[in-house]
Amino acid sequence: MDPLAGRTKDELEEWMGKDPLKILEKKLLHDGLTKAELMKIDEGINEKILDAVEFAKKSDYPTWNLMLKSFTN
Amino acid sequence: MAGNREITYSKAINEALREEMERDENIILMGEDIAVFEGVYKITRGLLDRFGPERVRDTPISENAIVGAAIGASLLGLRPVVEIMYMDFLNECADQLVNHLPKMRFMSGGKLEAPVTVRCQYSVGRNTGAQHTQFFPAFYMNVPGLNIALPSTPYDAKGLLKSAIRSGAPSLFLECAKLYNLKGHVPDEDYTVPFGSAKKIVEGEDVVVMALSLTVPMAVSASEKLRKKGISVMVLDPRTLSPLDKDSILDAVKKTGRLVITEPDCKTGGVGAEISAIVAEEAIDYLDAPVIRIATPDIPSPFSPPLLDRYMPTEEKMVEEIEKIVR
Repeated sequence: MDPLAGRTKDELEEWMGKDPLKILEKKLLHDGLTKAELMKIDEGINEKILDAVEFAKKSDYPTWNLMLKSFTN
Repeated sequence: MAGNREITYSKAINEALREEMERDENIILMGEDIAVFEGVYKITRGLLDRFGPERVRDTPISENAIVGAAIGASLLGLRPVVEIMYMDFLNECADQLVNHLPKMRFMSGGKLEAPVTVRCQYSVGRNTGAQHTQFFPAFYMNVPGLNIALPSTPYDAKGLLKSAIRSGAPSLFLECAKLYNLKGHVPDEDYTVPFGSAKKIVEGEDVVVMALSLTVPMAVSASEKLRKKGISVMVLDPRTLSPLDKDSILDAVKKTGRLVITEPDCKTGGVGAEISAIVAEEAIDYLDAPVIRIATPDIPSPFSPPLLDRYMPTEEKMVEEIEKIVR
């Protein structure tokens, strides 16, 4: 299915320009953060995600009681 | 003529929509991604091509607006069939579905009819997480004026959907995603299945198992296992919850003296609670054993496969519980 079937290319570009992550990045750079500092934040986030994936793959399936703990006090 | 044609549950629903739209040009379809994309489960496959965008309409992601627009269209003579993508999302349109649709006739002193059919699928038993696996038919049993169907076979799916669409009353049509690929006999010729008529799927003497939708095929397997152990199990499928075929349920209880209700929704306040109350009111003297409910525990559905296995009603749980009350 054509992802552009319901909208024009211009409309798509207009909305891509409103990407909140890119806008925040621009604002932070404007406010005095350096590119190196931004990159460090990005790397930190990636590392956290990769660690979480690794942890999930190594772990056993959760137990019934562990699940219940997340539901009841 | 009748032949042995077998088609899937999802194909049966698609055929019902197509045939009804051929029969009556006032029938229109509305829903999220049902036209160009043909529905997330492809239930509306081919219908945009056949009937065009005037009658097969993609809508914004706004369930309350979809049902509201359908009510308005129905008051002016159309017969809208709405698809809500997941049963969970019925909560998004509860205002129109509960506060308006089933009250139109009553509030107008019988002058207005709102023949809207709302279809949705429920996904309990699938690994789609707690917000996309809910099944709560009992909510809507508590709403007078809304007919509710929950077919367990391709035959009933096609016949009940046709009845819902032809009815002048609003209907909620609950499809089971786990049954979409189930195959079964569906005749070539036109037929309908009436609301308010339970089906005895297996004949039996010792106990009646009233099963709903997804749990019907499980109950049938359990009855076969128990037959080998000398226990004769009747399996009864109510097919619709509103209206409910109370007489068939009471007759089955009077005949067997034991009632097990198995349902793929949470036990507390579920359909089984209502059935148990009806039996307590009208046939308690016929019971030789406590009523047993085999439902899901009162927690949201887990995602993790081993947890989900333990969460669901199963054939094994049915066999175990039935043996306890029959022996």
